[in-house]
Amino acid sequence: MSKRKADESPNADLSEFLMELGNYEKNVNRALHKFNAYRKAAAALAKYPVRISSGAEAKKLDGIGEKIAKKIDEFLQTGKLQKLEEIRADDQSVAINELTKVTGIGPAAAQKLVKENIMSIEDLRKNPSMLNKHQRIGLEHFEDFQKKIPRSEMIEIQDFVKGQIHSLDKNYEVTVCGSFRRGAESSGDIDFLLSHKDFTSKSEKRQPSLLHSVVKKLEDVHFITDTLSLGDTKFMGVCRLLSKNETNQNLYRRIDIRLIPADQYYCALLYFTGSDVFNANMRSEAQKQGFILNEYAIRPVGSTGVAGEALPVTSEEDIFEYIGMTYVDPKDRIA
Amino acid sequence: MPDIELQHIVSCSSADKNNPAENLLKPDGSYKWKSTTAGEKSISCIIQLSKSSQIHSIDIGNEGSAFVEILVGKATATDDKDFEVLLVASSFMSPLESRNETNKTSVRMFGPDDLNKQTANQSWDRIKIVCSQPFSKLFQYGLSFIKFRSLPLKENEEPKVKKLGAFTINEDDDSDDIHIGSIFANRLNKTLPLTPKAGAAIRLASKHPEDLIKTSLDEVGKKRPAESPPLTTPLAKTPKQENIKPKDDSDKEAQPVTLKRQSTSLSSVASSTSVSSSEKTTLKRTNTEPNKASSSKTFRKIMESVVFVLSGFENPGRGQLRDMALEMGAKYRPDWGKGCTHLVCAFPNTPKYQQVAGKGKIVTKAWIKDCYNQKKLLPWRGYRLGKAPSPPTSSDEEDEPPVAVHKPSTTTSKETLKKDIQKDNSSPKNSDSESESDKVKKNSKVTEKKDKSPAEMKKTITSSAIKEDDPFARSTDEEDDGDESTQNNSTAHNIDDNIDSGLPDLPDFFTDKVFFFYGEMEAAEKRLLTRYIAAYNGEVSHYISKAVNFVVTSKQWDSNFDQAMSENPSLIFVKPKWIYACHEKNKLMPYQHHVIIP
Repeated sequence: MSKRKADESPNADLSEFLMELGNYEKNVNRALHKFNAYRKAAAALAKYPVRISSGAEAKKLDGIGEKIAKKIDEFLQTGKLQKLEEIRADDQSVAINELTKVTGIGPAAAQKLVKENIMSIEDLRKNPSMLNKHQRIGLEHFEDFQKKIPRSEMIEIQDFVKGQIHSLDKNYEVTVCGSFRRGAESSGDIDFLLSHKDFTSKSEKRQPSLLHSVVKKLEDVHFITDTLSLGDTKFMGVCRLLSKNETNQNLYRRIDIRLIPADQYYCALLYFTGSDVFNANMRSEAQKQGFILNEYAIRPVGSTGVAGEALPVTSEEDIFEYIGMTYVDPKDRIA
Repeated sequence: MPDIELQHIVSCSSADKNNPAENLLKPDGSYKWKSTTAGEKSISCIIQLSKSSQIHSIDIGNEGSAFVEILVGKATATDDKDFEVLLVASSFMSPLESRNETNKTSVRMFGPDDLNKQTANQSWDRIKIVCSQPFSKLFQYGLSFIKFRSLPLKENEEPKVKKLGAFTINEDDDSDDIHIGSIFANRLNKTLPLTPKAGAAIRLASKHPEDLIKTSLDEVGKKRPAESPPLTTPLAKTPKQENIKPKDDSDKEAQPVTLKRQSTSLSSVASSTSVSSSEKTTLKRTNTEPNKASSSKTFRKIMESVVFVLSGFENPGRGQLRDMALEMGAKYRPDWGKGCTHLVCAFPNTPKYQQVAGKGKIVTKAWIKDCYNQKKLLPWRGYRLGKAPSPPTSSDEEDEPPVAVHKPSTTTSKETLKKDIQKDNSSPKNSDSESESDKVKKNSKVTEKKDKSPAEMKKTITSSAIKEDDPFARSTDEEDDGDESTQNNSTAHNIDDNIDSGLPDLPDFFTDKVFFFYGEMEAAEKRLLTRYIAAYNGEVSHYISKAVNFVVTSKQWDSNFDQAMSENPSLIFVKPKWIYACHEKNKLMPYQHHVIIP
């Protein structure tokens, strides 16, 4: 997301190199806080409408401190960053970064694989025994998953899935979230939110059949081809929309389906629509107004800081209303 | 599920003049608590519960709040942070409803599942209510009512307070309160069912008089069966005694003996030895010369001539004393007035004591108890309380010599009154206030058994009483008691002259003073304090308000005091001791010695 923003920003190159540093910290050193710090700095730079001319100027921005300012100075003066060059020169770091691109392989698994001297996707393909089922499927569709899904295909998938689910039960609510809902021209994966009026957070027991029957239905029509994981409320898998054109078959896509309790549906919708920066800002605004907002509910904060009961929410607009914000259309939810 | 009683508002962050937080203490819905102004983001108030309770469910009636949160704490806590959330902030109005001012008065009921379980499992005595309305700044908001319920009671226990619509019905509690006619109803109830047990009671009485008395002394009023011998003994003897002596005679004869015994231990009010020994003599007499009256009527006539007033006693003891005296035929008056003879007083210097001093006989409660246990009218002097001047004349003058110094002015009227009474009844033991018909009934019953005409009987009563008793009683009394009493009289009389010059009204030094009880206090103590305050024309407020001048508490200074002070800087926090001191001295004492210092 930040990358996409960076494309349009006058400081795109700066945010890009900071994100690269951040990913290195996350994947290789597994220093999540450093990653978050770099990401925050990158986001701040991306948001900044004027080209930054010095580290000192950048330092005025929120999230950029002494050290990042120094790196910006170095980058601006030399056109490169010593530390980044070292990382790029380090085989292990490159390998880890590469391996983590496979779904199911995180920093920890990647590091383990690198220790086993597996330094590339090629090496992985030669040693499938070292991977679990999820990772093997990820590897199998590695090239497909690296490719973005064009919006047109997203709409096609959306309509197909909605039709299939409603053929099961009209009471399902189905929405595609993520960048697609924000109007992105292309998306990395497909993220469905599913809810049913019979399933609320107050229901006595979970109703896995609500999700499982949907998955089964989509498998039956050969839309879902693989299952990475399936629980009571969350499905992760692989899908492919069958095309009438046999020669030009669609690619395999990563698909997630989440079953959300009906009363939490709109908070989840808000959350999974993003963007993450927008969410963070909205949460902090909610906090200022005395509410706690998360993907499950919006709750008032009591006098001692104890969160109150979940407030009734019947639309995304309700949530904005509670915290006194004017409604923001999904396509404008950037920050 | 019984309601938890709300005692008072400890503090309140904001309240409209016409809709104070105190309204929450009132029964449902008709009165509201509202913020001082529109646009306050949140308001809170702290309520003291009458007793520490586990809260099982809460009903809340809204008045424009968007959110209501309930916290609980303890009065002993010093910090506001010690409140724990019982009911998390709960929604009553949506933003849209708030802006449109719709759905302002919804009611929500929260059961055990809605409350924080860990907190709900403990007992708490303070409630903090926090209301907020962040969505609209156009109206005052608050609550219309709030109701807390404790755990459902087991078995058949029922809540004390019953509700009928908006009215609260108090269940009858016959032991404590005096209702019109209830005294007489009680008398009937208590005396009638005794007779069947007579035989057993007699055996008991004759065998273990001492034990019997001990128990009956301890449990006066509770143990009616044990007290039945006085009623029933004479009944059993009826056939023998009827021709020999009139009914009251044994009383009269027994008295001198008792008097002697008591005068040897004058100070003791009712030491068990003196009681039992005198009881023994009484019993002996009745055995050897069975001359007692024929029925329980005798017992009911013991105090026929007594019109008494109680002072300084609290229930249930007060009720017991009253019942005992009433059983013996005495008349009860709530206040001293014409015709009253005895003031039964708990301690000297009660307002009534001051009032009666010099006019009536002031005795301790032991007098009633001893009379009751010994089944006869004991001379009051042995039970005299304090050193107040004796009345100029007394109805039991036959027992004692006339007091040397007394005031003629008050005497005359009383004397004539007494004489009239005696004439009327042709018996010194008859009371003036007992209705004629009642007396006739009693007498006729007696006569039936005795086969004697009422007139004859009355004659004998009078003659024997005068002839036999008087000289005997006079001599003993003079020997032992006379000296002291005259001495007392002479010293006390000077004081009396001053006090008695006008009508001794209750002093009203608490006029225009409003008191408020804070914190835990024993019910008995609270009652006593309330009585004192009321007696001296003070006022007790049930909740803290601007009108309150004095907060009476046995607690140490805490933050609530500061808060109360900030709202009403003229508040004075005093210990209950001050009230007692005022009462003892019968005047307004400086409270400075009794204030509570931060």
